[in-house]
Amino acid sequence: MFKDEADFEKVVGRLNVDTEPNQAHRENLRRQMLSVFNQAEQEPSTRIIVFRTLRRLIMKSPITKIATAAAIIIAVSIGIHYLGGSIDGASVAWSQVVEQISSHTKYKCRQRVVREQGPQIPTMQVYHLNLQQRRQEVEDGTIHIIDMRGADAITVELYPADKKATVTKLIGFGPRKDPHITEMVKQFEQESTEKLGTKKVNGKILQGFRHKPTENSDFTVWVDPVTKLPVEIEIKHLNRGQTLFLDEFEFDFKLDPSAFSTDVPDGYEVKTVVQDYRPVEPKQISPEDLRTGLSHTAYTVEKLAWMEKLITMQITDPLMGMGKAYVIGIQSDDGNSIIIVQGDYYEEERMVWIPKEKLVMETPSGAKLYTHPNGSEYARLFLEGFAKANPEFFSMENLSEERFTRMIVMPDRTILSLSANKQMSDEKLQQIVESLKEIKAN
Amino acid sequence: MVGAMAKLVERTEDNDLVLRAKTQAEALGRLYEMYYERIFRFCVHRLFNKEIAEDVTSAVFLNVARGIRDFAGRSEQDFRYWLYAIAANQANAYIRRTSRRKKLLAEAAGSIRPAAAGSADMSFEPDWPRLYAAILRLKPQHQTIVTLRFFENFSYEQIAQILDAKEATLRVTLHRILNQLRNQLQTVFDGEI
Repeated sequence: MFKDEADFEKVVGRLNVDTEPNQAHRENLRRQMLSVFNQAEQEPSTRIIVFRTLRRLIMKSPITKIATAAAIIIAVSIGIHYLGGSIDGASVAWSQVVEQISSHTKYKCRQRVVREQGPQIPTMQVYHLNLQQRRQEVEDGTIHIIDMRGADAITVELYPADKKATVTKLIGFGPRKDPHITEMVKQFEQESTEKLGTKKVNGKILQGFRHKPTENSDFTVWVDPVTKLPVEIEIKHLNRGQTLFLDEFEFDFKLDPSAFSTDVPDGYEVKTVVQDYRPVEPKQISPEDLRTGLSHTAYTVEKLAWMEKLITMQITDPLMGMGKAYVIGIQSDDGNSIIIVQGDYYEEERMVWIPKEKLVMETPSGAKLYTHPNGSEYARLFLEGFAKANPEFFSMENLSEERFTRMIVMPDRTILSLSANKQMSDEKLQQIVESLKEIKAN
Repeated sequence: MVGAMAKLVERTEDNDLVLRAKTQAEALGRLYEMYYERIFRFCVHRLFNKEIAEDVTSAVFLNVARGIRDFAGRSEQDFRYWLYAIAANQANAYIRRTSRRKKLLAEAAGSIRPAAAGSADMSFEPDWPRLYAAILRLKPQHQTIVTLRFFENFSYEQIAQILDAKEATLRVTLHRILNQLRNQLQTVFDGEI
């Protein structure tokens, strides 16, 4: 008998297991995987954008913002397609539940989020008319309507108490599917969906199923064995210390279609916000264009003696492949190409990782420069984006291995990114950051 | 020094590859080439049937293809841990179906070549089906630990990362697993499970 770990290791080491892969499988799987990757190209990024949009445009109050964040986590956790099947001996098979859910895209439910720490989140009733239209009635009286059917998605926030409304138009967003919780639940893999037995709620026996797609996510679904539809869904996000509860399900609810109208009722003061997702025509722009294009403070660079050329452009965001990024390109007298990037996606809330990176400089005015963990790749992407928009400014043939990226957090918390093709002295880095000036109206 | 620099460059390139694989099929294809064999080998060691291992390996990489855009990691190491975590979950999901255990056990007997003749330490030579039967009796998570530690030769630190566990806890758990295996090997007979 083996005595200890080392002994067991020897035993295993003597096993001669054939692990030679089959080349045909390897090649077929490669093709299949890349095909799946390409097919999924639109959907996941769309999903992220939808949630970003919801977060940014609908949930402006800190409280409701968190509610949306919970949904984001769900979406990210269940980014996998699974297969159906049957559970031996269960009164209800998961595949039957999936079948039932699939035939009910119109449903309402109550959504509650319980957090271990931090502010609690208001409860809301969520009505899904279909996979593209949703209405949310928040307990504070706010109503959200989301319509993603047309080429331009629309979201409406109604504040009945104040008679105020915010309408957000997502130009060129294109028809999208609402990231639906039941849509995600029905993708649970039969094989890894554990049967929990039954429980009694309000005199009704419910059949439980559990699915744990990751170490940090734990889904429990209780279904009515008669209708085979969900009655309660509980989603635990262990690493975030919060649990999302969905209950009071009503499938095929009755609600006047006007409840999903994006027309603001009479008597409301309307604020309209436009977000443009159409392809961007690369062009040189003025500082004023840059200021009006951003929803936060915009900065320009005051020309320094060592800067030979300075140009401000709008380009398609090289990271997203859609939407707009604003780039200030600088050519220095020592042959370096430096670009400073600004965009609405550089918002503090989404860049919480920056302060965890290495702080490399703090300028006298209080701007802080941090490293970027993939600085070399980001520099390549931005230089490439700029090279496509303005080949005279930079050619990818001159791409240097010294390239790097620094994230700049300005004293007012505005975030910019600086990428350079070659290394820069601290002195020049500091000078360039100190030369950033806020663009003010007129 | 040159070797260290080369390794550093290689690691940086791998990290860039992970970042690019979120949007570029070519980069994902390269990651696939880097990891296909390792994941397939892990699956064989975990399931001891090459056909089943192929199926599970397929499920792993198809999940990667669907999920890589949402993958939060940035480095090659993050990717590797994520990949093994998916593989471990997929293999566990497969094994969890008790109806397949017997099949796996039967397959195990046929998939092992005899140990090399004249091996040095022959103090303990269980036949493979018995050892595998004992391993199959462990909790799926514990089976994964055994595979990662003894078949894939991962360090405790690496296993801790893959399984999102504490290194110290892992050491204690593995000690218990080995005790459990030792006890089971004294009592398990072919066909018992």
